[in-house]
Amino acid sequence: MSELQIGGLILLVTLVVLFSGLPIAWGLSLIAAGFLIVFDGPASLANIPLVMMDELASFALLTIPLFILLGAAIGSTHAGRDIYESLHRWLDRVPGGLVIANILACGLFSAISGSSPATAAAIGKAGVPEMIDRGVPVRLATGSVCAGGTLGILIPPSITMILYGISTETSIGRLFLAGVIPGIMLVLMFAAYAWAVSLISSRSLRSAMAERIEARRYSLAEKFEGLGRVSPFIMIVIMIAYAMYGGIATPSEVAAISAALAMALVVVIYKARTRESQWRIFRETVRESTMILLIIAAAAAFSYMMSLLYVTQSAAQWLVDLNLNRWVLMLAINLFLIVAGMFLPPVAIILMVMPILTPVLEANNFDLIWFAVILTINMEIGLITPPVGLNLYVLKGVVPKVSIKDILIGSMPFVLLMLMSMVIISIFPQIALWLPNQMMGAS
Amino acid sequence: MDRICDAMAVIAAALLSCATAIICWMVLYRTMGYSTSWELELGIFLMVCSLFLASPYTLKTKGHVGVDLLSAYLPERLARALHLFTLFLGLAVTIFLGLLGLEFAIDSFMKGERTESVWAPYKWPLFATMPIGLFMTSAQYVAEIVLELSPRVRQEFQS
Repeated sequence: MSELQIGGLILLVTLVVLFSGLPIAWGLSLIAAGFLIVFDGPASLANIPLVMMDELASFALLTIPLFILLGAAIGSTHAGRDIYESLHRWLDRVPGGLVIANILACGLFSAISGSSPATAAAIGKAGVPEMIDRGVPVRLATGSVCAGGTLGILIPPSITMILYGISTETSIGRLFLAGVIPGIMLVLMFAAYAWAVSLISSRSLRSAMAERIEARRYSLAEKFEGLGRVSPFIMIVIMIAYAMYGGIATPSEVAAISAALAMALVVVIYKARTRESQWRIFRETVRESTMILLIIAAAAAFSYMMSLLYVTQSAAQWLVDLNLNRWVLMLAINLFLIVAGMFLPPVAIILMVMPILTPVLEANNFDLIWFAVILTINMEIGLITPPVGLNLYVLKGVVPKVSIKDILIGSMPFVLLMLMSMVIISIFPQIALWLPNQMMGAS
Repeated sequence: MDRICDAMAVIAAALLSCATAIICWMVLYRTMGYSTSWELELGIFLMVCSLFLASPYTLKTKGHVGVDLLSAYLPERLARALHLFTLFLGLAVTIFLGLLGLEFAIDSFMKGERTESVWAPYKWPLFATMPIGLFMTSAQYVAEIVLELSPRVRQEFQS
């Protein structure tokens, strides 16, 4: 059997095994072990624990549980509601101000949590019921939060970017910086869409909203009240940026310090002093870290198998030899990623696919930092499209009275906006590359 | 079984907090101008230990994500059979990986392997958490299978 045929067989078996519902971590380990036994003999099995441990015992990976802890600590509080509430008070007179406040809150919250579902849950819990109460169309309300939540993996700190950095051996600091301007651009695009829809949509909505807003004007003191409580968290974000780009600390160190600070803030400001509330934070953290890290370990074994059987190299070579126009290739890669993203979490996709794609991208003169942004937006789409869009279900869990169909249809315009942003960033790669090049020198 | 899972998760959480504290300490110590030796390595060790120890708890709370799409489209009986099948498969995989990990840890213990750092701790305690965590995960799988097959649960399912 040629390497490419083995590769095809691996793809097929992976699909079958993963679709059975077996946890991804076990599924990938099983496939890795199975193919090693059949095509390389049982002797190479002994390397599986070695490969897994080698992958796990890395300084860069330590960042992941620490950022999850940071996100869980902040997610356990009313910080999401506070951020959203204070933004809303500032934007109460803009058409669609409520929706825009939600989107901005998602952007801000994702900058401190690093997780998309956490953002959707935190902002959605407070924001969506209120938007619906005030007459915002249901689909616009849920769509904005679902899509806003996905910014969690684009705006730093981002676990997706960390994994990409590990997998492609690119600088995590540079990747984080690359996500900033595209993140802001997406926030603005979402906000502009919400504003336009609110302007165009039925007059009754506008008058209904105006009426309610008229009834509640916020004084300046009120406008600053919520902001006061949120500001320490925003300070954490600024501190993360300063420490990481000022060259004071590595991403893992920054993650540890900000996680410790966030825990302290949660105890002091949000008064999570009971053992119960602290346990809830840690429970979430170990649960999610274990899930992600075990997938990483299994994906390492999977990649080891692919590479040992020479499948990775052959597949990459095959893609290079196709001699496709580079943009046709990019389109094909993105189509593949969108389909994969509909079913698999970003962690698994990045670790399985990037070893093959990295040499192909380099051969076609694509910038790996730029591609990280494209890939991340692509993965974001997977979070809000059926059948396994995580954010859709997270939001459904938070606001049970809205049907999953409404949530789904509501997200679609935002999917289009994301696709549009990918095109824009492809035409103007500087949107992603300017900031990292400016701050860390040209790569 | 439930209690053991919970206890292991508590230990895992404690290890992770220790890792956080150690890294913070390391940064502080370094900014004071001293050089650090064991902190980083211990931090990483604690994280890996924490990950394997929390695995049974993660299974118990349905935290190990999988693509359970197919079962949504299958008739109930088939979906249940598929679910049972994946439980047995999960049991097999965790036992298998646990055995590989056990062999690896024993091997490292016999050779007295140490890491290549200034601190140079033994590697086997770290490696040992892999079989411990995975065998406990397989025990949790047994518990899930028993629960799935017990008549009471089945009755509830049918009604």
